[in-house]
Amino acid sequence: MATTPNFSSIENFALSRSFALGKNFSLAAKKEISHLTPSPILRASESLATALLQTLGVILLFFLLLQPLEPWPSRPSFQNHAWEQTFPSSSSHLEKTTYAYDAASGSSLYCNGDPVNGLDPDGRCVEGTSAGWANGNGSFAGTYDSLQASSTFAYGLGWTVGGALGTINGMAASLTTRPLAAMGQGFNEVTDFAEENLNLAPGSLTAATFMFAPLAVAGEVAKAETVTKVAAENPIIVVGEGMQKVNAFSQEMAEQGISTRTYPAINMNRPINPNVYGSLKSLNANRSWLDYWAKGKGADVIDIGPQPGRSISSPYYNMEVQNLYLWEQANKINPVIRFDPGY
Amino acid sequence: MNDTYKLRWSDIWLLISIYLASLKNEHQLKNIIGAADAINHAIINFEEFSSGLMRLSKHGLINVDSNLWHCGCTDKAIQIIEPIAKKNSLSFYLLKEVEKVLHVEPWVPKESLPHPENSLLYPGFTKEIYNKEVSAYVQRIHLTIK
Repeated sequence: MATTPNFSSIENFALSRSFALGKNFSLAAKKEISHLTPSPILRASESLATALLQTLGVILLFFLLLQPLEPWPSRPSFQNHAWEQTFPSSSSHLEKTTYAYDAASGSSLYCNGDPVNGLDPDGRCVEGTSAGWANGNGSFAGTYDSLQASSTFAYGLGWTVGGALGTINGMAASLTTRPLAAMGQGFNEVTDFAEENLNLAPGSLTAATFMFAPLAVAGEVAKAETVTKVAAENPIIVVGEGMQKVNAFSQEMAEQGISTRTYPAINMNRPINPNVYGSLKSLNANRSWLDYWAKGKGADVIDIGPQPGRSISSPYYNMEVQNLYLWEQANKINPVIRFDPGY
Repeated sequence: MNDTYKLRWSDIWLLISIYLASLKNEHQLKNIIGAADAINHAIINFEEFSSGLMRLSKHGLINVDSNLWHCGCTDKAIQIIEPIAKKNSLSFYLLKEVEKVLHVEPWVPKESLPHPENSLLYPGFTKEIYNKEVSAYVQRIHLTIK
């Protein structure tokens, strides 16, 4: 599954980002004005402005040298303190998460000591010794292990894989690859790239994994509309106990711009060909729907689990769980994403 | 009608289950529980069932035979449900649309289960009766699968 990452595209990504930072823009601007000849008045005014600036610089330097030398202030306010950040979680309410700042690593590890070329827009990427930053060329710096990948600090790792990766607590490296996807890279290239560099098992990242990122960091980095480009390669179906719950989750995904499918429960008791609920025919209708999407269409399946408070489990939901488990074991379907939305 | 009998979403779930089961002339509780499971992929609990029977009866939407424990929709309920059922053959759609017509608050994530408003006891309807009917439904399913 894991293949060599497409570095040519990564370089393209880096170029696109440097363009966004204004580097290429300044070059382009220079080219455009190089053929213009400035007037004598303009040249004279430029010389006068330069002379004035130089004089001011000398005066400022003179006064600075008169002051006693003091060490440049460090960033003590950030060290040895818990750093709190609030961001939307998968549900609609806001959730407060505390990130501990590793004082031992020191601020010098910010972007691995290369803040000019590095990228760490919100500072969370300093967690760990070398994790969580991407240099200006879009290539990797630092090493990553599965522990970090599965930690709540996977957010930092996210930036390493080309930026804008998200996380959700308790899930192993839930990633989104906005820039890569935006460049039109294929889903397999993106996942192979991420799996290889995060030391994850080949095939452990699926399209459905990706879509949790916008829920975790919605409005902050990842944008659902771009993630959809990745997720759209596979349809997504949601199963769980209680269709009210399943449809509520599906609605949450829709609000993030991600389309999912849920079992529509066709009315079996129509005047033509009526049928008994709980019969083989009724269950088969449900099973066929699951079979069609999960096996036939290669859909990513999200199982949001049983409904808390229901003491007797639903035979219909149990049938879905059992079939998914068997198909998953036989590698007939993509790995099922099991996710508890918290309700 | 006071707030005690204000309809909840689970009442509509029960009402649609009774309606769908009755299309096959099935009025026994085990069949209604089966229909409820098929629609919502969940077993309606005792509190939802008992309170639902009480409130739907008070609203004149169902008739309950307490001797045989058979349930059926009234003409009033059928007049509400059938036009919607004819438009769309999806059971869950039917449930949501009837919720709207009867101005029932929809289910919200994280609501309590059992819900405190589902504390009504329908006369004669006990947990023993409920458990027996649920067991009958689950057994039928298991036999079906085998």
